[in-house]
Amino acid sequence: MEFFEIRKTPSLFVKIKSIIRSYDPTFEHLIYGLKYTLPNLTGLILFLFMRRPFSSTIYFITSYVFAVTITKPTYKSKISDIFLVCIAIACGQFLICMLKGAHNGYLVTAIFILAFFIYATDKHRAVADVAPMWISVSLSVGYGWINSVNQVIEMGIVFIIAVSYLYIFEYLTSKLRIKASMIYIAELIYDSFYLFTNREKKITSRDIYNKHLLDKNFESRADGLIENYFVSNRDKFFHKVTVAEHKASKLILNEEYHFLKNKRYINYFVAIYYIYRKLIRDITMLMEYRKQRDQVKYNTDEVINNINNRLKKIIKAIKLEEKIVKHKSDNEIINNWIDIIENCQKSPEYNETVGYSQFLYGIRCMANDLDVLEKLLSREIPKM
Amino acid sequence: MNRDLLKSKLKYQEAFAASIAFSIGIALYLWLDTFYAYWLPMMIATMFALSSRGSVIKRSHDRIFGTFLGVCAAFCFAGSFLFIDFQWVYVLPAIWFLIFYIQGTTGSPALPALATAMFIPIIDDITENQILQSDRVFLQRLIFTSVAIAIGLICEHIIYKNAASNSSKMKYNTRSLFNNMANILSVACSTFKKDEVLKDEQKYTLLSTMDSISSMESVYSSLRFELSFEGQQVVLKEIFFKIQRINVHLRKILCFVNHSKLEEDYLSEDKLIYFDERLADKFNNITNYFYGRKDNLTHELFSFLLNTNVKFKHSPTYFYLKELYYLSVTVDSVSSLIYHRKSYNEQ
Repeated sequence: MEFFEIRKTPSLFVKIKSIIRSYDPTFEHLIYGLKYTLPNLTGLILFLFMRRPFSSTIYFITSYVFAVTITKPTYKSKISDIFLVCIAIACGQFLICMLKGAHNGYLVTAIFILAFFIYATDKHRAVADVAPMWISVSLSVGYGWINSVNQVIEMGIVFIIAVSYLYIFEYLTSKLRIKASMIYIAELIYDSFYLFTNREKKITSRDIYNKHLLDKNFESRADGLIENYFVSNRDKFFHKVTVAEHKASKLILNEEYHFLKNKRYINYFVAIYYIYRKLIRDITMLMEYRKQRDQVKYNTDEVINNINNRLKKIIKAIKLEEKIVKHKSDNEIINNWIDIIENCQKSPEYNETVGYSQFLYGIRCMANDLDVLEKLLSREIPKM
Repeated sequence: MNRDLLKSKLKYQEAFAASIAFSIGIALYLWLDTFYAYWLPMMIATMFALSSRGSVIKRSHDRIFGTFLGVCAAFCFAGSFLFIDFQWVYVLPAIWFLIFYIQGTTGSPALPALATAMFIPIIDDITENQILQSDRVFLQRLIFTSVAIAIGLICEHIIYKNAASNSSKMKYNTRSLFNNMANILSVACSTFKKDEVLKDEQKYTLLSTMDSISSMESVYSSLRFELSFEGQQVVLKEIFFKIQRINVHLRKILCFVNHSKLEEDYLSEDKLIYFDERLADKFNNITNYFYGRKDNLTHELFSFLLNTNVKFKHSPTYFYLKELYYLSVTVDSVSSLIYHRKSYNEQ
């Protein structure tokens, strides 16, 4: 029997992993980096393999062309944007190679008209972010028929690589992104609940604020900029929850998936995501609890601990992809507490503040929603 | 003028300014007839990638900084590592990945500029099998970047100077955010009185509200680089703070909608619709309130809540009404702040 708990020092790998997780909890930026790297790398390998003359831009353009799809939800919009970028760049490069040196006046006029059409698009604004920049690169390439046709062929290859990567990225990264988003939301809910209900204010707040990097200044990011303006850390934290919810909604509700395994996985998580959204609403009811906590008359500690443990268990279940086994004792604790509260509220002497009653209402709603969430998580997780 | 017509007019004006700048870049390249002059239109195109004045100014700062760092890094890498052992070239994809990974995390536009400025000379060096001629390439890239930025900024400030302004985008986004919030109120009211589950299309109303908040935030991050920003800063900070408050109240309302239904012995259905529609109307016509319009909804809600029987003071319907009251107070305070700020600026 051990009398002292031996605390393991985390390994370097675990430390690095936790730093990466705190900066990029949903692996969104990791995948962003890969999206800007892998298509170019493929272009480079093709270039080294084929050694086509005048085809050196293929390993610079491909990732940028692929990146226009980052904010688009459906395959149709993604492919049409890639197609439009490729067409715009191919047209521009063709014009430059054909007219450069021989008809400079016509070239400037033609480029002006092309650029005007590119910049005036509203629906396909991403085209304007990429096309003009890479049209100008072809100024460094030679001129004449051979170069013009070569540039058009090159854009065809770029189109094929970019479209292939759409499918490759969906196949390889969707599960990782969905799972990471769900874990992040689950953690945010667990931390908000802990933050709003725990009595040891300073210690818990500091840990949670450090974990979610609330003191870090991300002024170049729109969300970070707005968070800097909020006075209280609670508001900053709540804003983080809203941003995470929004990003997850794009991933889970808006994004179109092509592969059956991803479709099954997303179907499993849609209902869970909706319950998480409900839980976020329930938690807003607890925001004022700290102000009221001195007048707590009913023993809510047991219920709060119970909800805390259940939220923790849910995070673990999503992480390890395990089914949740519901305990009867959970419902007993909650139901007993609800009975006591209801009886008290019916009595004429009940004179709690509205804020405190809202807190009790929030806890009840949370208990209900947690129940539904546990039922959903007790289903079989689709196998990949 | 019609709001959509105005938006498309601004869009074409914006496109005209960007195309003129880009064409000037191309013309200058043709006139100079130097190899590295293609950097000119390339930089101009990058500056106008997200065409709005704030983003152009922000990108111009970041471009100069990123290009300087990138070109320095290129010469360090090519001159030291590649000079010692050519196998260092295999590290380049990892460096490229790291730059974009950090850019994703921090959101800094200087990093893609750094990547382009660093990699193009190195690739030129590798493909042309020649050692980088620092005096020529380094200086030319910096000079062309500066000239491109000057052209971009001049075109931006001379040709249709209001077209790419973020102020109009901010107004448009604020209006659409408040319209979306009004929709949420209507959805909440109809669901609360009938005790129905939210339908799919109603769920998308919530999503569009989050989209509006997100687009307002990104417009704001560009707006702060505009010259007119100083005068608007206080108001905008307050607006964002109030939006956060409104967001919290709306979430509470949706929580009541999800878990309870209207108690008609306390509040009749007609009265609920009356309060809800008036508040939704306030959100829909928020611009009029910014110009000084006032109403007595806050007062009406306050008196109704004050006269509530004690036995209903802990009921969800009472909580719901209280949140409507807070929403009305928040909208009043933000509109009065904007109205007074406007009057002060006009004086």
